[in-house]
Amino acid sequence: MIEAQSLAKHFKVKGKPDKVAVENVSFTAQDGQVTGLLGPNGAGKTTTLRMLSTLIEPTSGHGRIDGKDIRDDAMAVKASIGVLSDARGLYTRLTARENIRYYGELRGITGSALEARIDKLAGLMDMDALLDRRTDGFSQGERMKVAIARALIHEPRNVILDEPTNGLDVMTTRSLREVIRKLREEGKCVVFSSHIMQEVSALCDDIVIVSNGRVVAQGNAQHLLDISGKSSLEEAFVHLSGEGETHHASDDSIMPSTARGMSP
Amino acid sequence: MNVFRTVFKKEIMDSVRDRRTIAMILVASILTGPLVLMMLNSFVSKLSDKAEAKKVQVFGIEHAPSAINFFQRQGAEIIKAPEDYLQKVKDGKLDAVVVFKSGFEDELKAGKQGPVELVYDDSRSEAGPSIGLARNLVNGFGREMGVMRLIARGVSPEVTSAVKVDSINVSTPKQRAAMLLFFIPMTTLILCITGGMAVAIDSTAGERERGSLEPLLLNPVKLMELILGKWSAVSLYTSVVVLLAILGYVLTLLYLPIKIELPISFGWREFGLFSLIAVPLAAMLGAILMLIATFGRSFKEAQTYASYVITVVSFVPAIAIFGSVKDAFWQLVVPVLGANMVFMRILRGDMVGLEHFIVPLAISVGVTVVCLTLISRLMKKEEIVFGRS
Repeated sequence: MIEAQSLAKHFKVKGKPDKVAVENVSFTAQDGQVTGLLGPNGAGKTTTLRMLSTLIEPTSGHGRIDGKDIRDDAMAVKASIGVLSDARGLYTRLTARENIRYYGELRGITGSALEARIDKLAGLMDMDALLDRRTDGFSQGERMKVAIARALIHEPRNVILDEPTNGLDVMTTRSLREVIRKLREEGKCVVFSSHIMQEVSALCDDIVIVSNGRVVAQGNAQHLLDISGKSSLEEAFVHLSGEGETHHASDDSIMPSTARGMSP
Repeated sequence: MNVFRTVFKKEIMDSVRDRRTIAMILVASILTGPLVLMMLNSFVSKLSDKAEAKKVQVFGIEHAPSAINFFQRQGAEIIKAPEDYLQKVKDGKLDAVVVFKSGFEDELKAGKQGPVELVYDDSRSEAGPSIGLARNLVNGFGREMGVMRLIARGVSPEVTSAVKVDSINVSTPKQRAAMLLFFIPMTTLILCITGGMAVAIDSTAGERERGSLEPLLLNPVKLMELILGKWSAVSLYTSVVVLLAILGYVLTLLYLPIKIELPISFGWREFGLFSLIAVPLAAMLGAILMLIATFGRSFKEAQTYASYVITVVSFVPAIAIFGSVKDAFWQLVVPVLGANMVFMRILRGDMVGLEHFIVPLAISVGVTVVCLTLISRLMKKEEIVFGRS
């Protein structure tokens, strides 16, 4: 289970007021469910996920993974999550298998147990043919598969995927959806972020709409339709995230419209 | 320890497959010794050929039979200089020419000064011995004539030479050779930094550039273990490169036919002593390189930073020699300068004591610890982990 409780992150900027990347984000992602973090670019999704995966220290608020605090127990948190981060670079002189094996060994998995897991993930991700090739020259989809396999090598109970479908073709996106469904069937807690409505509605049991560093709505698809009074999810999304923006514009005028943290 | 071993193994495997590092090892380390020694050898043998041959170029032989007679008595071989000697000296084809003007002999007999010109270009260092020989011969002849004139007038020659100068050259052959072999410390020092440079940059700025640092730090490992693994790989690389280079010198000196005898011993004992200095130095410089490369968002940016360090390090031997820094304890405390001093002492055959190894080692350990601690602080900073070009 992944819990965010009033998480906030302000970045210091020289000579200017702090940049507010995340103002107040709270949500709970249950085990055996897929939770979608939906929001436009710059809404604060990546920063929120980085705080939950312990790479960024929150300015205020709390986060808990399976009850362990992200600040006090960072090692245990890291051990119980698998993260596909915003940056997902591979070592191009190593083969796909060696890339995945490296992460396995860093997490203390070795020998035949490790090789069995690599083969299992390769089967799941349909990447057996790639395994023993050097990752130099891999397509974006191929690189993504390796990055996901390496994030899941320790069979984590909680999975965080930051914009996993970015830049992927239709086929790879489909197989990624399969992987996410499979994880849900295994009872894992999956959180993934996206700015694409269709993706979230196709997969998620629970949708958290984030806009300008705040959660503006949470619930399943039907709930979102109900509270927005719209007939399609896309319109509901536009309406709800837009409402967030107008709300903030009147509320807090120094709020930057794109507060995206340190992303490239 | 598992994390350390895993990181170390991965960095070594990764870099072995990198053509840049392999080329570095082959070209820089194995060839350095033989190439430098061959260059030095041909330079030194040219010098000594000239010094031993005692050949002097003379223009206007017919004008000065008595001077020629003196030259020959000194054991010099007289060579008739060509008509265009001035141009030849300018072009560097002749080192020095003694020119006797017509009427030289008549002036001498009349008790006046015989006109002689010495034509040379001292900007070429290998011309030095020839110029010195020509000048000594002309001066010697002048002195002899002067002495004879005084004796003819019944005056003791001691009247004009109040001082008796005996030249005693105390630079033993071994010390002279160390001057020439300042190349050995210099190349060793430079390889101590360039040897593992590619690995140092790849494991820091390279991780940032590839976007592999963020996912790497998501693993539940202690940052210091990660950095120690990387640093050990860098140190191993640099040490291998440096030891191969020193080995190249030893093997070339021991087994290749070197035309002149270099009166310097650089054998297995010196190999061992050099290694004791070079390996800790390489480890320290590896940590420094990793630290500054961590600031680089890309391999290229980090390379620029690294080039500053290389420049500083490669100037140290030159400063020590040309700034005539005297061997002293304080040098041992200064990284690189201390190593250079001990290298020179080993080569000159001077006494080296325990302090010559302990002090640089302690300094290396200290600097390394500081650098690795700073790297671990940097790698917690958001702008380093997420800031990419």
